[in-house]
Amino acid sequence: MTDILARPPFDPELEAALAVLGDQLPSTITPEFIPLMRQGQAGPVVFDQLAPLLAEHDLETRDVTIPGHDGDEIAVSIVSRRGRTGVGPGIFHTHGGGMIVGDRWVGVASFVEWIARYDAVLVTVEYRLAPEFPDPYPVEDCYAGLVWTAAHAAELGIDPDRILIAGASAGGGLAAGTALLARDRSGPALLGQLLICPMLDDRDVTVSTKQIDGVGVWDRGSNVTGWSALLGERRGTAEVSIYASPARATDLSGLPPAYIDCGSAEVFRDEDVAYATKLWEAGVQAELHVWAGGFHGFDLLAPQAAVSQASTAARDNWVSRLLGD
Amino acid sequence: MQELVGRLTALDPEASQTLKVVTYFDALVAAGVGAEALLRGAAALSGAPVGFLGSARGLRVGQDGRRLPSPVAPPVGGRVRTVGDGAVCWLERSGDPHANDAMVLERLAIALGISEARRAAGGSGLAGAVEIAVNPHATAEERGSAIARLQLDAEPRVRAVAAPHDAEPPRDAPSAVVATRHGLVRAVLRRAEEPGSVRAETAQLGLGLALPPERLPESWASALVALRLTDDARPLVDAAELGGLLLLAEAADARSEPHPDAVTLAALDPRAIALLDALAETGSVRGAAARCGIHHSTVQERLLVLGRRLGYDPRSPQGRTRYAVARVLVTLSVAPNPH
Repeated sequence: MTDILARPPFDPELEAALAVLGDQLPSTITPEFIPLMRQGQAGPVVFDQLAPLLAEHDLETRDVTIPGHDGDEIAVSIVSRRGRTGVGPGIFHTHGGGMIVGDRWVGVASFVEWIARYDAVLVTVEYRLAPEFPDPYPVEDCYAGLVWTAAHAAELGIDPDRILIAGASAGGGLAAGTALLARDRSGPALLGQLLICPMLDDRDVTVSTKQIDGVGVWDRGSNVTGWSALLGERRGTAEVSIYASPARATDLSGLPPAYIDCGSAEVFRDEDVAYATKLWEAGVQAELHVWAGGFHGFDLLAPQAAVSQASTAARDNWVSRLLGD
Repeated sequence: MQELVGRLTALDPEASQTLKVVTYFDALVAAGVGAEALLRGAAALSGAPVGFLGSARGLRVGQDGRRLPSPVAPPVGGRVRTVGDGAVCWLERSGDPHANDAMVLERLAIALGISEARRAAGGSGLAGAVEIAVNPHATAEERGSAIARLQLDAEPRVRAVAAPHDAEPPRDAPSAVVATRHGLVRAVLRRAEEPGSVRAETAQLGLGLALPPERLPESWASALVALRLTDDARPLVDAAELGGLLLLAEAADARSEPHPDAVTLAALDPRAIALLDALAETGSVRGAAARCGIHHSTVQERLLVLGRRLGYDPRSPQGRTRYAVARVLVTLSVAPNPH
């Protein structure tokens, strides 16, 4: 059947956390789990967990309905300091969840400190999920959200020359795909792309996908589930666009500076490293961090671990170089 | 991804979550992490700052895993536990203690004790050498030097002895708390000629096979099986008396699922098991009736019912053997150290 290779060991602290949490969901997420997972984290749940953190940083939110792909209505939420005036950087956020689960509040907690510190405005987009809305809905909804954000920059208090696109996991893949769309359609300018353990490649051919099969978090089988939901029969064929699967892009010139991170023991390792390499080859600035012994999303799962603290600090440092005075 | 698996957050302040605490610290100890990683784990699980003060250094860590200013003394009125050799660890909880505080602190103290012993083993400490001597994954060279450091290299035969991790360490033999697949266990190394000195301890003990020192991992494996077969009635089990049961234990450990016979048996109520034990030990229905103080015709009826649940007749010679094996499998599947 599948050939499982030796893999880098998990970091001891991460492995201990996984031992405690691993029984909440299997390593391999099959299509049958999608409804269950959606049930566990419908919008109010994630937002309710986020609300105290927003309050602590004196941030407020408001929801706006905007035209998504093909003009259908989708929601975006705007997060900024309460009573804010003036102009500052914008963060356009595309959430994670394997293209199949989650809502626009998933992952926003990671940005709260930056919104406060840089007086930034975050716009997070409720793109439609696969499999009900397969490719190109997710990435086109994200792009529509970015276009709307840039077009309303003045009213949102965003400096249109200082928009950072950011996302984790599937959200990282969508951020990369949206940046490619913006380049190819001469759309909004982007200051940078923050790709946190991004999901970039539908082809399931790397060494790392063979290594992470039935172990860790978001393993090979889960990844196949996510991409199959997004692409259906097209997964792995020549019929997949570079916007859905940015790893397929052969020309990465003209893209904004990128920050890419991942763990050494996750499916996305090889595609993330390859994407950074291709950016450098195209003359684009990129910073790459591969954290030893990290499984997918390790810094969110076990934030107290030493390697998680290092990962968070490195990201923080890059953003301060990008957005700081 | 947090959305997919969750997040290691502070434990429920109200409900006891012993398994999580034990699992977390056992994994850290098995991986051989240092004191600071242990403190980070305890802080994250308890949602409160924790500290450690040894003879040479002190550490404090906040609930987010970040280091706090080093302590000079444990806080007054906080929960403090001894790590050993004058070292202490504590949990800084303001307000009422949470349900898992005591458990987190206990496991932290044990884990710190092991990790500090390992650190010391780089110098002259013997606990680290004990751990290497019984570790099947150590190289022959590492084991050889550990055995020499323990001054057991000239012994023709030695044995590992397994005791609960919280048993008092013996004064006359090297020992260490070791992480095993069945949790933390104290390993004691003794010369084969001095079995008498192991009787005195009050705790349960599993005596390993007496073997040449280089085969200590094998002796240790047999000691662990023996320890798991101890109970209140038989606090001391010698692996040498187990015969083929050692092979059975090895085979049972290699399976990920318990054997169906063990599952069926474990589901019976204690009275039923007591009756079946009486039958096995006395060898007759009358004997079992006398042992349990029940009329033998009642015993006969109950055994018929039990036979249907078990799927075999425990009175037949074959059924008796099958029962005995299932009984051992059930005992082996229970952790040696439930407290």
